[in-house]
Amino acid sequence: MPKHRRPPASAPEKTALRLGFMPLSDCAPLIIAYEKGFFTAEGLDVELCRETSWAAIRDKVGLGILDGAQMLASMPLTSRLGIGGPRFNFISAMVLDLNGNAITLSHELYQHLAAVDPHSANCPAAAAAALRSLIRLRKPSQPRLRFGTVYPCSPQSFELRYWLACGGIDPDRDVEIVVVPPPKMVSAMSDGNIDGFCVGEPWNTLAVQQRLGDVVASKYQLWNNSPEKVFAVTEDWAARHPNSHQALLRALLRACVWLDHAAHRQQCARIISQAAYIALPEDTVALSLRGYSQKHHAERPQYQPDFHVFHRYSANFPWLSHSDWYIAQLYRWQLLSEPLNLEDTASAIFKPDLYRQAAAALGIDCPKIDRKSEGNLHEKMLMPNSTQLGPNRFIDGTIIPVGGTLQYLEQLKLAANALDTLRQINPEQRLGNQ
Amino acid sequence: MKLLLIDLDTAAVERLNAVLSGAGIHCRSLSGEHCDLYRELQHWPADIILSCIDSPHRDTLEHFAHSHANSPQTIIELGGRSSESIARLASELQLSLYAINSLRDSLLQALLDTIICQLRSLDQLKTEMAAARFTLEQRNHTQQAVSYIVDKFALRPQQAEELLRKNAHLQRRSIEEVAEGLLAGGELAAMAT
Repeated sequence: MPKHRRPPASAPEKTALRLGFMPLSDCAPLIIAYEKGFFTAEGLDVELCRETSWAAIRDKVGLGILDGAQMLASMPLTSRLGIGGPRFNFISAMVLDLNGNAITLSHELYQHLAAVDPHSANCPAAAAAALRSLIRLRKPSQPRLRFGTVYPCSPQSFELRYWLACGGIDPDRDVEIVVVPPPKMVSAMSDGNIDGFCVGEPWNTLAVQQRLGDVVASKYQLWNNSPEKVFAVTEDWAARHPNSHQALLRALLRACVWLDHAAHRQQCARIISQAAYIALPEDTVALSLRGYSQKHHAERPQYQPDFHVFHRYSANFPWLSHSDWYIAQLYRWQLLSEPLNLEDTASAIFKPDLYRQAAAALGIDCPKIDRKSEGNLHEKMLMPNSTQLGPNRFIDGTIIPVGGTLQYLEQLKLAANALDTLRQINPEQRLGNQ
Repeated sequence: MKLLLIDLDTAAVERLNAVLSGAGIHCRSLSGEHCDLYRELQHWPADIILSCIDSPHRDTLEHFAHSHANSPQTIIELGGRSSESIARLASELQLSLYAINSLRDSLLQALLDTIICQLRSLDQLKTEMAAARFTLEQRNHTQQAVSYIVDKFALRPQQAEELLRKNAHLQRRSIEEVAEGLLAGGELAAMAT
């Protein structure tokens, strides 16, 4: 963090705050902000509340039982639209982390995939294609393969769908997708209730370490450096407590900066693996935090330094283009049918200016634009140690330029009449023939 | 009408079962992390679901509601407006409500009123019982001490109580403290009646 003279912050309107988190590796920004005294330094008396479900987090923040919480990156959007649950007017001014999820198949299913195509071990697209071949060989009398995700319309759900679809599998017809709480995912696989899952760490590592599963794709491989969790409050809360909100953002931002130092990751694992937080062995939690992904039990963990990104690549900036992608996925999977103005919807929920205010107070540079193209930056195109932007490729090579969401939907063969309506209310979007 | 109770404690289930069955509501309780909620919800299609807000099954319940439009949906407001009852249900009783869309808001409001009243009074009773436990234990000690004095010194109960009172006065302690000391093996200081 650059040295700077920080202007005095306005006093928080509310200092005793209750914040919710889920026991996942990426709850780290909240835990570190608490344990390292970043909340206290902002004059905040924070109580961290470990929650058992995303629905509980959503309802408790929405009803004012919690002041704010770690949320799935798609949750403020889907809650605003009333998709997959009741309507709540959440806003988010900060992304807490990028990447961090993976798709794990049961060891038995993985062995079948590897027999079809040995490249399934390290190539997510090959694994998806092999899975498609296996599904085609199944008898109609056999039950559909069952995959677990953590919440309807979650990033995990969209990532699982994206991976299946890139192999030619229809997620709604060819397989069954169910919701299982993250801490129960491994036992659900052990009990034979699910054949695979998409979840955050450390649950993939645990499945591999217990010889129950094999990782076939990481979130990074599906969409490099895509948002995973955000910090969210209600719109009303933010309006009534602007200074407390800024103080929270600053404390969380300091935690994210601290977390992005590789040298701090083992210490982070030691802290968040405690019983009050994740309650798992430190080594299990440390593996992915230190940038290692254990895909198969018999193999050594692979070094993936961007497995968890907490700050670099402008990770904490709430890009409106990320919101556009989630809206596109909602249309793609027929979870949303009513036409929306993309700009109005995204800017009502994600608040880049609030982020810029917090970042400026800490002397942290941040993007001047609110949207960026997605899918156009390859690792090899970036300067070494680039921190402003990271790679953003999709597994299928898709590129979505700024203003190109409708073009993207056109490629996905969204119904023509739905596209026509969308074009009418989104005149700023590029037309398909441009 | 079928009401499914998920991860509520036994006392709450019994209380609601007793009260709501009289109104024609058939209650069924599910608890435990290992039940297959998808199968249970298909096997016993409930009209209303009351779940502990912190149940690990909440997200599964949300998914079932999301993918089955005719199943109970999360209720956050009544009549298109925020509801104090829903907020109380969540904040005071740690419960979440799901109901099928065709039920009238007035029915849900009446049900909420009943649930809140019953479980709040049960909660209040539990709190009062916890507070009274110490007093009841002290009273029990005093009665045991009186019985001990009656047996040991062949006194009448009234005389034993007077002896305890005098000792308490002499030792500048409460009668309950003297009784507890006596039962713990101590001796009374004033033997005179």
